[in-house]
Amino acid sequence: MDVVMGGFTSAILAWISIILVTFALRRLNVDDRTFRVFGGFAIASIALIISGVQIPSYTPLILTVTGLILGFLRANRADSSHGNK
Amino acid sequence: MYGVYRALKEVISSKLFLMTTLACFDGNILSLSASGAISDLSVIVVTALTCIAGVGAWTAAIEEYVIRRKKRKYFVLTALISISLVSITCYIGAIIGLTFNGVMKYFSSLAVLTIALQIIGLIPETRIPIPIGILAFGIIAEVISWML
Repeated sequence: MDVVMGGFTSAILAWISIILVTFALRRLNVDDRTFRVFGGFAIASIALIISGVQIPSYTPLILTVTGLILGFLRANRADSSHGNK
Repeated sequence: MYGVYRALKEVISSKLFLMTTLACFDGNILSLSASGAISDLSVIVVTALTCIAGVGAWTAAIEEYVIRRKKRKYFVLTALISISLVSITCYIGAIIGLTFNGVMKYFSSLAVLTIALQIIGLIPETRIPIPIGILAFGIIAEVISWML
């Protein structure tokens, strides 16, 4: 895919995520710290790919999705334990 | 005319606009497109969910467009301006990437690594964005390598 088209697709995906979270999943609660740490590792793996280190190209995607799922689970577990008290 | 000016002023001053266009100005998108990494699907998704959108942008969108319903009409305009800015930044990055192909690769890799550390929170946000500084050094190094 072309670089400019890639950027355009990335922006469209970002706004799809914003629209989904804003209008459909208003109650979605993600732990910011967990998501940021996994997102940071994902970006670091992109840096490794750019510098020529041979790692699978889907590593950043797996790290981001893992961060999203773990952040969601952690935030909801914290909420439920807070509610039980 | 005044309506357009007012709408633009409202959009540019919104928190969501800042959250979704910050990556265009601090060198995130520029370094990713200069290295050509943003043409890969996994990188596209990661950039979308961490650099352009992310938890901060989702929270800002919920605050501005669900809680304050008056501002909903500016949502589409914010999206259009944000998408255009990202595409323009990618175009500029692609030109830089096509022009420089030597040591620039390592400098853009270093810039992306600092972005990762900033996202994790190990490097604080500075007044002059560090990735932009690294990219500037990369361009100078590339020009010097041409001369030698």
